[in-house]
Amino acid sequence: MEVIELKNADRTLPQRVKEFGGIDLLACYQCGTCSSDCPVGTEFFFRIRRIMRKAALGLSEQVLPAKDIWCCTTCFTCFDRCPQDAKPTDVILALRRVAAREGYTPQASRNTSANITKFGHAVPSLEEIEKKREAMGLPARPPTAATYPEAIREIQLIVKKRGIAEIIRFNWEKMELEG
Amino acid sequence: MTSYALYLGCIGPLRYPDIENSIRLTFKELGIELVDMEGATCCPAPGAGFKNFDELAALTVSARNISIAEELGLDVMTFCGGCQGSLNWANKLLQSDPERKSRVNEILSEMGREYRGTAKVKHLVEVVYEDIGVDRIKKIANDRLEGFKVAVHYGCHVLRPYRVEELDDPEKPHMLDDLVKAWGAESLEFPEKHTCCGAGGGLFANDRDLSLSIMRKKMVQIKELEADMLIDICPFCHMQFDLGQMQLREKGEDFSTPVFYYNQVLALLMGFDRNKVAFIENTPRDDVIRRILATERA
Ligand code: SF4
Ligand code: SF4
Repeated sequence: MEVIELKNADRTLPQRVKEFGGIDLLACYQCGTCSSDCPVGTEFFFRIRRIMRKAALGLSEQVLPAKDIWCCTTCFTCFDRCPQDAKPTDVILALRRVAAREGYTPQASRNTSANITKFGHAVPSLEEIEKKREAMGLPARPPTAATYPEAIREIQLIVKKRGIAEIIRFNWEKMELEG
Repeated sequence: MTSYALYLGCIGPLRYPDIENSIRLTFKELGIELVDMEGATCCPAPGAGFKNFDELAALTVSARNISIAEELGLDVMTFCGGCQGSLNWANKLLQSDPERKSRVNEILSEMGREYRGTAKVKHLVEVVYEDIGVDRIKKIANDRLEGFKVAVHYGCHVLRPYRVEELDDPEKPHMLDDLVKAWGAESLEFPEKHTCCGAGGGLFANDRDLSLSIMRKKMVQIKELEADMLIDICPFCHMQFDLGQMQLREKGEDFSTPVFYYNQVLALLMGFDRNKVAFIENTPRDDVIRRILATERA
């Protein structure tokens, strides 16, 4: 059996989780309702109940670098069913925010934010789709940021104000992610 | 005339514009005006992109989108679960939290915008159900899809978290079932009916195999029931099922349930040309479309 030495625990973690949006982390009483209803847990050894406990105990080294926190689909089933209203989905999002500030961010998640920064959309417009739009009588590009570059500049202002580029390591000169 | 500001999002217009067009055409014919939100951006998604990194950034992007509808003096209509989840969450949080609202407006003021909190954010399913109504759909369909077996997929963020969406019972929703039954079709019951499609939260891109295995579990049951089609109300769930089944076929598995957004089949029943409303697909739909169109003469 694995022995967890709490004297080595990161006492700041529960507080950081709260600051980043997981405000009811400590309400969790480990009933396991969340894990038993989780669509990811049935396919992969991902246990939201364990993550709740580990975060409360401050086991940063186990929680922050692991891929688990990035496997939640944010389906909000646990959020709706938790008898303690501990809001596990919010805790997952908070843990992602804490992990990202320590440099643990999956490439795909950085990519999505880089796309929003570059295009104002999570995915770029593609020529192949633009042709299909025109064939239906729609404009090649939708009347969104895909058509109005000033909208993209407004998103970039938000990115700058909130420090997202630093977190995802986005290079403004190259307009690409670093590494 | 009832009017909404049409919020497009990303996957609909940029990957499945036939879904967008099916919505534009059916709504126009049914007398609901959809006004474009010029310069709208990503919502941003509930568990991918900015929301993973900074809550206030996500709120500000959503508030900027909503402010475009406020300027038009209209409520927002989304047609994607993720967009609905993001925009409605942001809207309700900002309406009830003046401190967050003023922090968001501080940033928006630098681009000459203001979020006021005066618009509602509704998903298409609510608009079809409430403003168009089951009876109207029944009249259009005239029981033409009698004998068709349909698996419905609501998508998580249309219903959850309930305290944000407050629309239909997330444990036993009925709206989409009712709207499919209004075609004369049977809406199938199966254990995984209300399970997530597996695409959300960034998992679609972060771990494709895991994401597919969540979807596969659902598709196994849908296939066993010999569903004629799967009906969704979210372009991202739609992409997961349409593209995902192709990816499973590439691994040698046999999954080929045709996938439609609700308005695509509605548009076919209303007589719109297939090439304008349902022609972008990775999982073939030709056979079932032919069968749907054949019911017209029957
Ligand atoms: S359902 Fe709530 S209280 Fe129960 S283990 Fe999960 S988070 Fe904790
Ligand atoms: S929100 Fe995340 S942790 Fe909760 S049930 Fe859904 S996938 Fe599991």
